[in-house]
Amino acid sequence: MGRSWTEIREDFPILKSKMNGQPLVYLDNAATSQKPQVVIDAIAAFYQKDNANIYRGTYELSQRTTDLYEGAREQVAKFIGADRSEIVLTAGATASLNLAAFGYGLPVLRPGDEIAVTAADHHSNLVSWQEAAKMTGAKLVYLPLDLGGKVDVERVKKEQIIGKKTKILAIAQVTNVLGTNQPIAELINLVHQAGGVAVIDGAQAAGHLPVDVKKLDADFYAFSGHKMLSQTGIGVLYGKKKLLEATRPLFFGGEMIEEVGLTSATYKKAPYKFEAGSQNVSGAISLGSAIDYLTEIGLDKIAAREAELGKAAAAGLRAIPGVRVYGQGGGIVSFNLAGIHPHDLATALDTQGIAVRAGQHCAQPMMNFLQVPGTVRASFAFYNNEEDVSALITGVKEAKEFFHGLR
Amino acid sequence: MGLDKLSQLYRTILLDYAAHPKYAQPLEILDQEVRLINHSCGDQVTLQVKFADDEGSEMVKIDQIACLASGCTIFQASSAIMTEQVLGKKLSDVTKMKAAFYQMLEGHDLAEDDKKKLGDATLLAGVSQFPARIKCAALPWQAVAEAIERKQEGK
Repeated sequence: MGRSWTEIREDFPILKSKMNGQPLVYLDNAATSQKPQVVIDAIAAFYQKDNANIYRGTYELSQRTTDLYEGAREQVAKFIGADRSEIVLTAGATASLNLAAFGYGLPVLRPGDEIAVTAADHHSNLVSWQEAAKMTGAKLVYLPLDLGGKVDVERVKKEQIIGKKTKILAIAQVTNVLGTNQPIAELINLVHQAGGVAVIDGAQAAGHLPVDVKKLDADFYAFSGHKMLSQTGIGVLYGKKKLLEATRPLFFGGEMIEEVGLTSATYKKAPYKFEAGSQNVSGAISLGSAIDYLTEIGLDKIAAREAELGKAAAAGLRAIPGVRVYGQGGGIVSFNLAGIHPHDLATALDTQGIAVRAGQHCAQPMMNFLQVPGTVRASFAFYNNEEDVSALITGVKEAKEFFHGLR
Repeated sequence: MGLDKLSQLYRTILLDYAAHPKYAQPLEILDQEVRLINHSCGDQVTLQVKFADDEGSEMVKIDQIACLASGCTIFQASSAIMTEQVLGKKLSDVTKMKAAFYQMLEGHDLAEDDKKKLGDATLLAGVSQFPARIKCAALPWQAVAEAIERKQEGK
């Protein structure tokens, strides 16, 4: 028996703060997570004791920094069941997905090739592939979704939507609007049978449930550090060794080269050829520290806790007349209050100290799919609690009374 | 605190404006059409303007206007008020009104003269207390300013 959720919550100093004079109820974890004290301390300790540039120094301090950076890569590898040579440290999931689309996709895509995506995906995944498709003459194919936003695998199989022409499947493991856990294992299997490659956007999955890229047999797997307790500006692209070797770097410069002549240069092996210029060392260290913290609690326990809070919130919201819940998965719940624009509702919650996201959530095609201009999204993390759930439900009820009272 | 602050923003009269925009019928004849989208929340506006300039370029006025807005209450109310306030005004005056409106959204006190010019648009002064919503109130004014700019650039 580890520490209680109440004790764990104490690790997050910001949760003791206020917003609009009210105790902060932070329910925008799918946008970015809060940081535990150990991660904040790891960043400060790095700058107090270990800061130098990596790879470049001939002195002990630089070697120490390099060890810390490479140690973080090792931690990431272990965290998702990969080898360290398969871990590219990037600026975040968006940078990772762009690297997959333009470093890997662009050179292999041909006119008429197909890229399978879904309307439930985040713009960072969709738009990168739209551009890669435009540049190569490849075509985006949208996989059919059921009403809950989940890919209808039976239809995909029956209609052979993933087939001979499919070069790439690009899909989120967990979607950011409804928290849908996509059947990616089956889809990866289908794309492999078709001879294609699977690029998985793990931004809402990593740090929220156990991820094993080898078990999934993902070809590429992208995620951000800031959505799983570390700082912004650090992320990961996992790629199978052979595929990373086939991927072209997008940034050129210092430390990614092997030998430089006057007109051309040769590059290091993956992952180093993708890490040009001075890297985000404190970011990598904060990510390593976050991984240790999450692993100690246990990803299975975290997944169960977040789903428990998400379900409780969805049930409470559904019980309010006029509230429509579009979906709930893990800690994510998307909903609307009849007659009230999501932005107006979010402002009403804001004045009560409750932070939620309102709008399109970087997922315009998903809003069209749901046929709404936007939704309110509450996203719970394991450090939220039942009081936060109650605060949200009370907050929505009060907002409803407020707006109806004005009529 | 809390809902008190909210009632300073959502005044009944603003909800009326939002629910009953006067100038939301598409124009049959128009000179400029500006379409703007607030990508973070999905507010969308299509603003159509017909100018009257038979009195020389200094005297160009907004002759007809239509604002097709879909979005939150603040945005819809601001759209409705904007159309009523700028209709029949000289372009140079509208440009000044926009500047004054932006000043107000940034939390600055306005001179009496500016307040008079803005009319009911001053009902949106409370938005300055909600930085996340400033874009919502500003978008319709941004649209009319863009229509004027295009007209002046002869596009």
